[in-house]
Amino acid sequence: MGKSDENTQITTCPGCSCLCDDIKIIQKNRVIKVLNACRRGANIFLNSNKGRAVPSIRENVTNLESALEKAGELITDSRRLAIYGLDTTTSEAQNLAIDLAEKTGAYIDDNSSYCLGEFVEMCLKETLPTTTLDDVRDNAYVIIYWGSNPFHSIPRHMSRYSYFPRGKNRQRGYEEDRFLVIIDVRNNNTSKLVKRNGVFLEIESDVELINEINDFLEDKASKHTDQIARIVRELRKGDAIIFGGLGLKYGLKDSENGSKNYGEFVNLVKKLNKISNVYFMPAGFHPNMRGFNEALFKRTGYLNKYNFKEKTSKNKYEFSRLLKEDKIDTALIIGSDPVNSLPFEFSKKLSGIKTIVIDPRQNLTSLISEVVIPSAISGVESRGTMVRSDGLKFELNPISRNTCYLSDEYILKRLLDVV
Amino acid sequence: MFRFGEFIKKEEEIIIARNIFHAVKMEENKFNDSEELAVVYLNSKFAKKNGYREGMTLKVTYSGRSVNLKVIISEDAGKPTIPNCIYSNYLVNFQTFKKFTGSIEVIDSVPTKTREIIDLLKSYIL
Repeated sequence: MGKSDENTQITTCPGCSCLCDDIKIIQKNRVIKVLNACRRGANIFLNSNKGRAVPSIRENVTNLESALEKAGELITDSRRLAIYGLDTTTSEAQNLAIDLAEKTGAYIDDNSSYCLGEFVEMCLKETLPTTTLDDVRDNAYVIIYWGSNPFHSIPRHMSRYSYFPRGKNRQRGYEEDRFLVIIDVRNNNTSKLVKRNGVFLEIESDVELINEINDFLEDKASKHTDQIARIVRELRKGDAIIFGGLGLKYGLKDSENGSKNYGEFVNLVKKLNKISNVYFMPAGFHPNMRGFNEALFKRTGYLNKYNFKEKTSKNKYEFSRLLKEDKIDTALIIGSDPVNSLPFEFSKKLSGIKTIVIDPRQNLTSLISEVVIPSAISGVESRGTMVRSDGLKFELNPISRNTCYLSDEYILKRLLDVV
Repeated sequence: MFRFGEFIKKEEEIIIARNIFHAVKMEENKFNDSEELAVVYLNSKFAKKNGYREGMTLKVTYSGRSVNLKVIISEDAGKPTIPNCIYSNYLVNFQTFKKFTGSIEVIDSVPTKTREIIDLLKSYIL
């Protein structure tokens, strides 16, 4: 076969909330090259056929129909069902999962309840001023990553949208037209980028830093006065964006009693807005977490941890708390691996209930679940839409349409029909 | 040759953070008992000061639970760092999801395997 047998396609990567839409896939019977993608994105396309889930009931391989039938039975028999995950699937499938939760009076939650859900909520409810990634690229001068290491979590974020690219009003790029601020409890790959046009603030406590900046704005000295003074000086030169990561979220949580200090952070952003235009955006997360948050918000007025029986959202309806407090007897987990991502005390509880996993790949949760239903990889084998971390919708353009796997959307429609 | 520091149990602040290379490795090897998955990243200065070497196994204990982790020397680790995965989640809860102060000691053993934690989880299946 010659080069003429090669087929090139531009597609959107469903690897993280950057949803990079410039991924070039070269196929010759199979994917042979992935251009422009990060390590994670390339892996999704190159290894899409590896480690695939197989239909099973209690770890015994079965056929797809039997697995679907058993899942339908478990959902119908359940008295206290929770639907969880959903952040790697399409908005269309998410809406069907919400329909299923409504029909069965179930709890529904996604990763955002322990990930960056609160930050998304602050943006959706306009508690904090926010913007789009394209605006950041074109206009932002001061780029602040607070409690986030994009090098590992959202690898192309800095090169596509924030620090490195030349923007409409930032033509001189990072060399002269950007000022980078990294705030973290440790040195990391991203903090190494801080040179003469940047500041790395190695902190012990996020709340302490907020107090220090407040002190500085009231002309009081503090531990990091020099660095804070420099940041404030640079803020006066142009627009700024704060990308808040999980480090910030958990840093704002009081480790003793779990209470949150979001108010202090919001007040700080308001104060900084008197100096310059300072916007906020959650740094990044699962590819369609924002899609789920927006879909549930549109339907119920809440972003996550929702109980359709009580028609409200409460912290006690968070999936992990439902597990911990033995509030559910069945969990339908779609496109998520809680055994790998939640603390052990919750995974332990998950082992004790009936679990249905719908996932393209065999994951750790599938090893302790009652039913496994394999599905197509959203964006690689099935179409639909996803929402980027700034709220922009992206149409997915699958590279393989002849897959033998069913889409999450189809599986959820089938479950909706039987319950 | 062993150094004195290797025999001491130390309390250290440990960071839990995402690592893209580890996440990809985890995706590819999670079921094959690989010893490359249960790891802790230490910078060379910290490792030298405490007598830790690349490839050594460290037992990290927090709130009554322990995992054995293989030392990887990485200058990207400002503080001892465990990638966010089943091993870190075996130790922590949501209050200590991103960092905790745990004890570290050198141990003459192999790193913990995914299967060991999964077997433990399976014992809770009703």
